[in-house]
Amino acid sequence: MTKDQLTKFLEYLLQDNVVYGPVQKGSVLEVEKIAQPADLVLNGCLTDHSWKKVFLPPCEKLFDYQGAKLNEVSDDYPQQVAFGLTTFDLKALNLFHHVYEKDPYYQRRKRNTLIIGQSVAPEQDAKTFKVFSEKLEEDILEHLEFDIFFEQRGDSFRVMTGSEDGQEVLDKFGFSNYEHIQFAGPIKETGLGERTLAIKDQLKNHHDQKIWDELGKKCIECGKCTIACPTCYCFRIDDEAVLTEGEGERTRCWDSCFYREFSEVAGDHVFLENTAQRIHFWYYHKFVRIPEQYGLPGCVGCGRCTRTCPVGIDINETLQKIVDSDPVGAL
Amino acid sequence: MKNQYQTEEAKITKITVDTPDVKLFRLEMVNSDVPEFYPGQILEISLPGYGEAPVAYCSSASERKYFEICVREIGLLTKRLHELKIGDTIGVRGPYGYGFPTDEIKKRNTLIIAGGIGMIPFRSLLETACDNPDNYPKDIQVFYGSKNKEGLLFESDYDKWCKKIDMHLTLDEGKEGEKVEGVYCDIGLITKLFDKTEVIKDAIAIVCGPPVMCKFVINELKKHNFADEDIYLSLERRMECGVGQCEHCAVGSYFVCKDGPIFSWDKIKGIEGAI
Repeated sequence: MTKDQLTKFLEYLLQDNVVYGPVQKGSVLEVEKIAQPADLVLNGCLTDHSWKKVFLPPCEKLFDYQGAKLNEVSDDYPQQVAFGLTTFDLKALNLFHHVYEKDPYYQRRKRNTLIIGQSVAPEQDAKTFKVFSEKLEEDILEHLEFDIFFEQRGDSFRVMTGSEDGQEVLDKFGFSNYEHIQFAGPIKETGLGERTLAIKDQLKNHHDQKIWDELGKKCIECGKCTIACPTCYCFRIDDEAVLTEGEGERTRCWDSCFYREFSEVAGDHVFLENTAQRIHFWYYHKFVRIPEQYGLPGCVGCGRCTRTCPVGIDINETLQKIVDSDPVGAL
Repeated sequence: MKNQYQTEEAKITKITVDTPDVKLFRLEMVNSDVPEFYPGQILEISLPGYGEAPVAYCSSASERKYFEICVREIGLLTKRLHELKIGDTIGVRGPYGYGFPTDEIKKRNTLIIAGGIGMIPFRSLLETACDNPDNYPKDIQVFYGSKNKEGLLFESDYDKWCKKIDMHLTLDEGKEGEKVEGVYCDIGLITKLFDKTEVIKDAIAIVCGPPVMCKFVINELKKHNFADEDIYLSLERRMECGVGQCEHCAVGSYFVCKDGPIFSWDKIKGIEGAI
């Protein structure tokens, strides 16, 4: 597909859809609604924040309540297009699809969202971020769920489809020069990668308190990494009253395990007592609980947490320390 | 698709004031049957405007007309619950979790160790066992500690329980030798009951109480040669979803809402900060 065709394709999509894509805002590349084709920056660069807000809004109304009754909100799902998720972002979406498999809100939104991926610019591949050593190979596409995928080839794009929905949209637009990629499940047949397994084993069976004490001194609990991370999905459920007596909204909002209230119970007891415990909880979730619960990696290696951290905590350095650690009694 | 956050309406049909800050609520479902639950399982109660809170079932699992919850007033939601009257409705969803190891309890003797409001989930187990003695043929011994006499819960049930259960009470403060509903009260920490009482043999032990009590009780149980896999602990955590998704109640690889709230010591002893 040429760039001119791409512009026409975007105009076509904008007729009936809300289109989200990477938009340059000063020095920041943000996922935003697109008003015209020229807004879309399709250059293979990672957006500063992840795409999760398109699939799981930072705050979402679940119910209107009246007295003890909860009335489910079910009508607020416009047709939308998520245009320009990189392979990192699609990998994270694999996980969200599993976590929210039984969630009617997520599933309704997913059903109304056309997912369009793009290849990662060479200077932004996995090696650049040094989180995982393996390169994002071509065959990764068969392990990602998408409708359409744009691979940058010089001035034009090689177009691939991953679903019938994707094919239908392209056919209706009048573009048929695409290849179809059959989805082969979210991970390779060989299972989770060696490094992922090594990190999991170390965290689970060879706890090294030194690592967490050091990080606990450095981390300021701002929670920016949890907001930027495409796989952080913790949430809290809150009630907000309106002025009418006995009525209001029950909402689900993103939460962060770095905040004190995250583990606080009635009577003011806090189970994650200090920063070291909270940052350990974050790593343990990504590198032990997610692989065990969903059989998927809990980190896609995008490096957003490192880029956003105001005190310079580097996930790659931490993971290396975890892999290299040899606390008393281990190994 | 079933909405896992949707609640069912339940009407309050009886309120018993047990201690100055603890009330027992009897609830009947308005449009559905009482959900089938196992002792030790939990449910989320919903008071729109105040949010949701996880609580334990507190009544016999074989009672199909109603169920009971017992709640201490300790925060905004529980304060509101305590203001409600007979005829008012709340929302409920659940049951969640695995509950007590009832298969083990049916096969082996059981030592129950409860501190303060940690007694609440055990009432469901004791009531269920008393209602179904053929299903629960083995012996049950209870060590129940409270700060003082006023803090003891469920006194009116002791008479019935004592027909099946070997019950021991101890108070942090009070007069030695007093009796509550026919049960002798010791004075001192719950760990002292291990020296003063003949501890039930060939038993599993289940502990529910404040974390500091749990630590000392585990030491005692180890001294009495309980294997790690025969010791069970009830854990408390903040919960939002109840279905193992929101991460608030995660402990190591487990979720208190989904896999608990009762865990064998064997499973959780190696987890930093579990108790």
